[in-house]
Amino acid sequence: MEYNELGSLTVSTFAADSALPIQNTLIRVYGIDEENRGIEYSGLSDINGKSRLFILPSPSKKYSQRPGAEEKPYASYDVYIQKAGYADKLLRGVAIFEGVTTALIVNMIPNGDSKLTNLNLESDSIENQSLE
Amino acid sequence: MPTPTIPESIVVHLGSPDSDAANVTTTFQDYIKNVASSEIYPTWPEEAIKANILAQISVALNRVYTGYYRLRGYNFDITNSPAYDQTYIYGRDIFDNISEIVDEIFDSYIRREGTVEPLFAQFCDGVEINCVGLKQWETVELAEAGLNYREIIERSYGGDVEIVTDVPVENLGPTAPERALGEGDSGSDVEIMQRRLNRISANYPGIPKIPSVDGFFDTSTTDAVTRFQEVFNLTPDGIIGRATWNKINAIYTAVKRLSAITSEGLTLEDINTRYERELALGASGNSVYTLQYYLAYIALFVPTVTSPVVDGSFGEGTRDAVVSYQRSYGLSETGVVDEATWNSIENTYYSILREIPYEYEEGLILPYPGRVLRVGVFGDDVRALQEYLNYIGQSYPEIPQVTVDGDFGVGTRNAVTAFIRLFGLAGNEERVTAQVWNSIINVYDDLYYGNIVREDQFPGYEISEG
Repeated sequence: MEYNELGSLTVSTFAADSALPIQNTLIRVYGIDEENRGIEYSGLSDINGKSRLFILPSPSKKYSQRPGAEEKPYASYDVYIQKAGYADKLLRGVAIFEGVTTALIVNMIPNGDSKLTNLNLESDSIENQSLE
Repeated sequence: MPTPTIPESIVVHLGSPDSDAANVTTTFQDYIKNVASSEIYPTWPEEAIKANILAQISVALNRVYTGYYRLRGYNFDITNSPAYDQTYIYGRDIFDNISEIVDEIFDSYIRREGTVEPLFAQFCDGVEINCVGLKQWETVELAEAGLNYREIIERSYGGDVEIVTDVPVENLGPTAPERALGEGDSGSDVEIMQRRLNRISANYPGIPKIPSVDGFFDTSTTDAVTRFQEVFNLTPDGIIGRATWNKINAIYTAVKRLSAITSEGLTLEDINTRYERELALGASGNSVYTLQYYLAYIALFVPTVTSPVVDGSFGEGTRDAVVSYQRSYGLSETGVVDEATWNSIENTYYSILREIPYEYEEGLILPYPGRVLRVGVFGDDVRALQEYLNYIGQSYPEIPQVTVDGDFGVGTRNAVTAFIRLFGLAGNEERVTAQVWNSIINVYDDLYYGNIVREDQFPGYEISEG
């Protein structure tokens, strides 16, 4: 199967509950399915903490209209977020649907010598779980 | 019982009720956007999406309204476990059309006729699992067959349900006006928004300032609104409808909360406080005050750390905050601040401060830089101090203007002394401790943003803005 349709992704990096935008954050987007492996985009967040709009391949939305479709109705991407002075973030399994803009609002946490070891409040994967 | 309202925020436990997991606090709308993005597909027909979202809202409101978890002694409103409540995945991606629909209908819920309580609107996928109530996959078919969301809900929950709309929203800010505001409109609502947008633009320099905060919605207001909408993923139409109004208030609240906590400050004694002894329930004094202040500041940046009241007294709230910190940072969750915990907290506090750039930007309120400023000190924080004093000095001529060079010399000292005397601050007249910094940025904030000057600051003559 191929990803012949398109969706899009926007990433915003903030701190302190959106009181502060974090600019010049490096954002990298990688396809992780067979159909989009090799897709790689990157960019920096702007002065308002916002990335450009990434246009990304996705499957047709027809696969989302019935349970047990033979194909997953969305494309999965990993998003890496890096900025010196802040904890790196990896958001696995960001979903891109045909015709839908996916927004990632990323809370950046300043990182000193104290490592945030136990901050596992973000699931390893944020794929749509309930409807698999 | 009172009638249900939409809470401003909701506390979500990131696990089953008895699991030792963190809690996060999020706005009600963001919570629902997350649940909806986790539970259903954004490519479903709109009527199906609406029906599902209404069920999710009702479940959440039921938990909050009935105090289901609170009454059982838990310190949260709802869990993120679909086995008990509904799926919520902290930090997940949100789909734009779902976001828009939630903004439209978040102040509605389902209830049975003749009752007040939001319905605990059970749902399941209807394929792997069956249940009484809404079947998620079935809503797609029903919508395709032409049913609207009301009909889908009646089909799912019985004919004796009704949908309540325009539910009052608990809000930290003013309530949205009846109709949207756009270019050509005028009034106090417009003025509030202009003022708030300007305050936000101090932290978000890509949002243009509105030169005249006069209640007239002109082109520059439209530009600021449009840019704001682009930054925060709202439809960039330059019109302040309900979603934009609420978002402006939410961001303004976050911005003010950050500058309020930074202006709490610490006295010179607190800054010098090093670890002296273990702190636990029942302790009080400067060390506790410092501890609470550090945690309150960290809590602004780390969502799993709760904020204690900063009052110098180590009670339950402080212990909970300490535990939440220890859990987040991989320390033993004792609720007691031993040397390891103290050092970790202090380290984290300063590491956060380090990331705040000290470039002075007009209107930007900077937090206390963590060191006492006096003759002989130089740096960007001194430069910022000089800018603040000069701005204030334009309205208070007793405070002499200083050269902005980042060097705390005699001129800067004289301006600091004049400020301290004019505003009746106690302590050393030649140094900028956290308390003095706190006062300076408060006066600056008030002057710059045109708020009412506090009565105790009125010096006895007309103040004009610089």
